[in-house]
Amino acid sequence: MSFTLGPALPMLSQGVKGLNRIEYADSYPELDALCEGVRELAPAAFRALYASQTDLLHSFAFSILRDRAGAEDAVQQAFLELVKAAPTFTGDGRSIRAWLFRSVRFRCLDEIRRKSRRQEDLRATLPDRADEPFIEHGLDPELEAALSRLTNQQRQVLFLRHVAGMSGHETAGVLGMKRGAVFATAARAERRLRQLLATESEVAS
Amino acid sequence: MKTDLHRRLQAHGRRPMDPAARGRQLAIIEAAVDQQRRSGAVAHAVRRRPRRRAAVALLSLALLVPAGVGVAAESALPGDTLYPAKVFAESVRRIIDDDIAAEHRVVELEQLVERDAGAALLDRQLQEARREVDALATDHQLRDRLRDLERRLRMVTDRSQVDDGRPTHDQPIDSSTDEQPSDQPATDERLTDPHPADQIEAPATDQPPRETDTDRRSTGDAPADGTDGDRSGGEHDRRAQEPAPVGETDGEPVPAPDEPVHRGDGR
Repeated sequence: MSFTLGPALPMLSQGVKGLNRIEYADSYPELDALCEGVRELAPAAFRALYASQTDLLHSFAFSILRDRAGAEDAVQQAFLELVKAAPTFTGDGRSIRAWLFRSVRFRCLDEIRRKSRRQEDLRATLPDRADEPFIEHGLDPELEAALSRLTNQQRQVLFLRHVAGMSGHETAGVLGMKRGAVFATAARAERRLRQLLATESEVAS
Repeated sequence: MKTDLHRRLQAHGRRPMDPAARGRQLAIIEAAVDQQRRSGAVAHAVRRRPRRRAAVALLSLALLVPAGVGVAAESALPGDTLYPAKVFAESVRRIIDDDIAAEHRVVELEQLVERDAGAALLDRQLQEARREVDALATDHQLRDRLRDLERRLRMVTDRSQVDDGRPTHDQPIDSSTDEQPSDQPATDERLTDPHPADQIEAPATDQPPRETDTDRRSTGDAPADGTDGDRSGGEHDRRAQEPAPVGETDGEPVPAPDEPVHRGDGR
């Protein structure tokens, strides 16, 4: 009996892809088209860039800070930094996106450091977010509770992979990690999240 | 399960910014863009790169050119374009190496002798070398090298005097033709002491003087030096086949070393 793996490989690959059903973007043609305008400080290019990236950047900042005002501030600072750096910017749409995410992340980490210097316990304030308006956008209290048990880095990796749809390479670029470390952190975070969600649902039932 | 978690995370993670805050922020960002444009940041950015490149090129030139000149000037000789650069570098190196100038002068003199440089240049170089070597310790090896060079120079001058057939009083490098250099070591007194002009007075006739003429007049010996002997030997061979010129005092083309004819030649 002979068995060849060759013809089975594409099927296997498709099957795995189909199972995951998660698509990660590798290029951003609409952002590539804006790069020249950004470099030349064209207001239209900045408007288009802001319109396409603000919500995602704001969500990312919020996932780190758990604070709306802080997240808005971080996004604004990142764009103002981009205005200053734009004339010397070289790169494509993917790099401009990664640059914005990195900038937002640094602003958020600065904010966390500033707050921790003031001896504020951020974690203690996390459950008291029930009155925030994002409840209208489908807040998942179970998931929120489970996420609050993860580390900040795990939350960032999960956000960039699942919400921003970044590839491992892109995520690694934004977080300053190795690609392998991104995959390992994502796998560990997902496993931990599933465990926490299972425990929550058991408790609820 | 995995896709379910993905969907939940995606739905949970999306937190759009408040529209009022969005409008406010966009106005601030547009104002910043406008200000940046008006400050000429674009033109500046375009100009800056070539300027930076030019600065880097200039800096590299400023570092590389003196180094290149220094290396190239190492082998310069007096009269070369880069010789002043060598002298300048030498004046710096002199701080840590006292003998550098003397060594350079002697080496230069050696090279000039090898190249058959002009008499005036050789004389100037010899004076320079003497000046530098005199400042050294008395037993310095450079003294011996300079002495050898002086000996060689004397021989060259002797030869040129004889070959040209005219006196070389105007030539600054003095030669003491009264004794062979290889017979006894030269002394500084002899080097600096100019030979009396009457000793190398040209003969009355237009005939080229024999090389052995002046030698024999004083010593009466055949040339002891091998080189000199070879040169004069060749000439003698040529002349041996010619008839002796009428009226010449030393009619014998190849005289015996101890022939008394010349010894009694009025001297």
